[in-house]
Amino acid sequence: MVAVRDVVRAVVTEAAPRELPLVDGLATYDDETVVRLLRRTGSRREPLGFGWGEAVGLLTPVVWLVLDQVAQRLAGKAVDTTTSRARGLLRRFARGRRAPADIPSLTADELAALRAEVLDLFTRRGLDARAAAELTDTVVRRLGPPADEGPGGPNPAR
Amino acid sequence: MVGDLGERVAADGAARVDGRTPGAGTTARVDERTLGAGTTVRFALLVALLVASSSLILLYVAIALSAYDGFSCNLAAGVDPVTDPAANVMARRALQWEAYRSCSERYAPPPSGWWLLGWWALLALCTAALFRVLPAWKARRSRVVPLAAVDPDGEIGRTLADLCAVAGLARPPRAVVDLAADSAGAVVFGRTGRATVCLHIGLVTERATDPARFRAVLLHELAHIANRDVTVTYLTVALWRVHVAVAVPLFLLWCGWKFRTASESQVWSAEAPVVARGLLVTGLLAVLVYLARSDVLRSREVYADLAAVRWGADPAAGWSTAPAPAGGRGRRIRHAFAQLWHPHPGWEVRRAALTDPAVLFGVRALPLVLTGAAAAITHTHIAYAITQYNLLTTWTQHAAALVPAALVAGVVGTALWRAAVYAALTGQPAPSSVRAGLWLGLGLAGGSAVAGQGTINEWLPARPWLFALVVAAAVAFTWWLTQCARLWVVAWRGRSLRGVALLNLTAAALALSLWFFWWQSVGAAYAAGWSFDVAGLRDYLMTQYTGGTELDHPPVSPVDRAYVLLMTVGPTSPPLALLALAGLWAVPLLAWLPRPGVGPPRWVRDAAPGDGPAPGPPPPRLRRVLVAGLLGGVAGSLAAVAHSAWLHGRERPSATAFLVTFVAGTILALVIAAAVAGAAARVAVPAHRLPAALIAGAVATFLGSATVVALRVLDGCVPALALDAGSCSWELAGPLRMFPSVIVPALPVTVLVAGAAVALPRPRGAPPPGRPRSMAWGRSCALLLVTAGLAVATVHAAQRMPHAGRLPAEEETQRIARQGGYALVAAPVSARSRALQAQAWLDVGGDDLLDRFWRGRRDLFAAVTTGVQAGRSIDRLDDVRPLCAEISEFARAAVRFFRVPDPETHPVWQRFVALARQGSQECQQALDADQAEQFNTAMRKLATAQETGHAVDDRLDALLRRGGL
Repeated sequence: MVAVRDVVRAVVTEAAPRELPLVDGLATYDDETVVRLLRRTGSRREPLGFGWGEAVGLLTPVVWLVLDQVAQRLAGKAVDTTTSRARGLLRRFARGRRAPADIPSLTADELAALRAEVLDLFTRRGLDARAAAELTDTVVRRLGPPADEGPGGPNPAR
Repeated sequence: MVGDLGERVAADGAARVDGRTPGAGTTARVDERTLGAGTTVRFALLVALLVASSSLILLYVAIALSAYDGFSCNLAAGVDPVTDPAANVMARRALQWEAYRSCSERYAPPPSGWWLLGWWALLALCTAALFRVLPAWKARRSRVVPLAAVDPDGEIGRTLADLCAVAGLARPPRAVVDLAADSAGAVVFGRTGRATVCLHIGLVTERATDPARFRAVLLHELAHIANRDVTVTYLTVALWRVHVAVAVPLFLLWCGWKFRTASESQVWSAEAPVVARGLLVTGLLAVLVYLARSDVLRSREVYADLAAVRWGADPAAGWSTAPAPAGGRGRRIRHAFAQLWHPHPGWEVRRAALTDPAVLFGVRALPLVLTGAAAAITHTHIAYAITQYNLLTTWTQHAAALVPAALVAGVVGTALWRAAVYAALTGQPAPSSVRAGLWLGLGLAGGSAVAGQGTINEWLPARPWLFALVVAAAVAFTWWLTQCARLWVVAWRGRSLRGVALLNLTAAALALSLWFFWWQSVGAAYAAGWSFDVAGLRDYLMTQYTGGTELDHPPVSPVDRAYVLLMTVGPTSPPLALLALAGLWAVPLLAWLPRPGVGPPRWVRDAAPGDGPAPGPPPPRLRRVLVAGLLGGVAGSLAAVAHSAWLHGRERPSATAFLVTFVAGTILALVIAAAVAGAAARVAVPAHRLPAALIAGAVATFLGSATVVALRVLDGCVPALALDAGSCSWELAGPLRMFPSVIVPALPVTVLVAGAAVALPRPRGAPPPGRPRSMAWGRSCALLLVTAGLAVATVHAAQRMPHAGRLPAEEETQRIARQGGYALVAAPVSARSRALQAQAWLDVGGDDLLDRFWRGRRDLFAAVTTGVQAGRSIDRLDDVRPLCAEISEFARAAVRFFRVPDPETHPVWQRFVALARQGSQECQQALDADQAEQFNTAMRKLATAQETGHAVDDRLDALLRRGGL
């Protein structure tokens, strides 16, 4: 079992270290708040701002949201549906909090399936094929068994 | 290999926006701080507009919640809500002004002043609360994190502190980070003294790879704080949101209630335009405020950009540009339209401004139109409020006009002055003041029309073409301001132009206030269709000259028409009127006072460091201008002498015609003086022709006025010019009366004519430029003229002051109206309307009056019967005297009351009142003289009056039945 936020930190450290301040900042929130924040990522038109529309293209929100989605699926919960959003609102209203997003230990088969799923999600979130593949490899590597399992162990990248 | 993945993705994102690297130049040629930006006054205009609109909404709602019944007073006055044009509405009220005011005070009193005060307090409280809550809401924990959360080593914090020192901020702002904002930007909010800088996480993550951009963005935000943009921006935002959340729903409720009760309303046809216009103005207000606010904010962005670059921001790093919209004209137009709503200018504009801040010195159409519309709507709303509260003294009306005038002068005047300075320092042609005036006029006319000026109960003004005068006034305003700015820019040698610009703007505001005053009190009434009887007004005006003596009543001549028109449209009643007119020539005349010097003026060295260009050739020699004025004065004097000689030899079949001819001829002589002077001045000087013409016109008017007064003082001393039968007696009282009654009304025309003379075609060949130094006598003349002008203006102010603070007497207003001030237009009246009028007449006092007489007569007759039955003779009936006196009182009240709104019934009513008055008076006289026979006659008259009163009742009942009531 590994927390989504830990996987995100590891992936960002490897793939986009300049975004670590964002991960640091997000670390001050619980998972639910982070997801809510990241879902509304974008630029705003505000008076006395510097300007608008200059998205710098951050990886962290993409990785976090994808892994959260995966974690929710693995936990048997459907996300991104109107019903679940409504439930989320009700829960928040009742001061309830959802459990921390974790990804359980996975078998090699599960990891292989997960790789395909993550790759698909990254692609759907606008990453080009190469970037999506590289990032997927990084994620899967972080979710896979420890390195001391050796070359004979499960290696979904192969 | 994976390590640069984030950068590649980021590069992709950035590439969607574009590369960067603006032009190499970094130094502005003209310092944008040379003059004030006018930002505060632009926000102040929006605040005034919102407060005025909110107040109007409150008045509507408060009136709806009260027992206010203004329509009954109008109906009782004879207004037909269906067929009467606006001109008749005005006329019917004015012709019975005493009764109408009395009715309004009783049945349609304005809401208590506490309502308005409470409303303003509520709006202020809500705005202050929202202003304080907004920063806390924007910086709430669920949205942003403290900077320290993403800056564990404190490096960003130290950089920010360094930049605050560079920006000279005594109190560094609080710093937070918005983790959801993925752009490389930042924003500042809060208030200037306690601002919060919110860094977008995209900027933080880019810092390592692009530190120059990081610095540029932060310096830009700190510049907003240093430029004091924060408080004023968010205060306006808070006020707008409060208006939308509090006032607009109230207004919509009022509209809904009006529409819901429309089918039951007897006067919906007259109310519908008011309600529809209210909805239109509310929608327009939203557009106007949004556009105006975005426009101001766009300019503030450029100011912040320039400050940031001045403090060391790298223009090549901070100001990336989006690609210009590709495609055809339609696409570009759509892009430009979309830009109007953005609080940031396009990147191409911002980048260009870094090398040449021309955009901050331009005169653009949008702000001019918006300013005009906002000022017109604000003025209309203020005028409505002071009318509701019957505060229509000259002072309050002028004060109401000063508010929009000062705001327009502040906004537009600042823009025109900046354009003049920029043109002078860069050698580029200045923007057209006529075009600026047209845009401003368009806004003013549109705002006036939408707000309902000149409509009253109609959908459209009866004379819409009069709105062209609004545009013409705006053109005159911008023309004068621009010409004066050009003159002062080349004449002034001090360190800063701000003082002289303020002087010019003050003079322009005062002059424009005279226009607003005139438009609201006279022009809008003309536009609504106001018509008057020339002969009646002429005769009334003549009694003003003769001290109340009635003259004869000859047929109307063209001279009468011109004279009456001039006198009815003259805007000289405010005490400050002459000061406003004098400012138009005195302020440019002061430009000849500074001593010429060598080299560029000090303000130029600050405004365009390094270059130090001369802003232009110095003003032409003042002697040329004064000689032109002298010529005009001589021409006007000759015209006055010729006029006197002509009048001397004429027969006088009519005293009125003679007096009108004398007064009109005198005014014409002054106008000739100003016209000749203006025309001469325009050919005498190579540049600055409008100021020269106005000054020359003033000199000529002074000389011409002195001549016409001297002719009157010396009347009889030169037989060929004598007008009166008297001898040469140096009488002063009569000639001095000419000042308020002849010379002052002529002054607005002389100023207009002198200015308009500049538009005449000029002979070929420009006169040589003036010498670069002024002469001492020229400065002395300038000072002397200004002092004389101020003295005359002060005398006029002192003369007008006692009247200006008082409400016009109701009897006098009614007398002028009946003497020709208002004329009715024929309009059919339906039986339904007649019935409504009759019902209203009864409701607002007619019924009470009939009852009052009936009771008084009954009590009197009962007392007399009792006395007679007790055997008392006439000398012992003194106890019935109070009852007779009461009927006399009734008769006096009935005379002051509305006419019966039916032409056939009113004579019966008049006979009834006359009988009651005669009977009651004779009753008292008979009791005084113990005359039994006279007493019996009086009683019979009162009995007849009672029967006549019943006849009035019967006729009114018939009218009501015929109208279905």
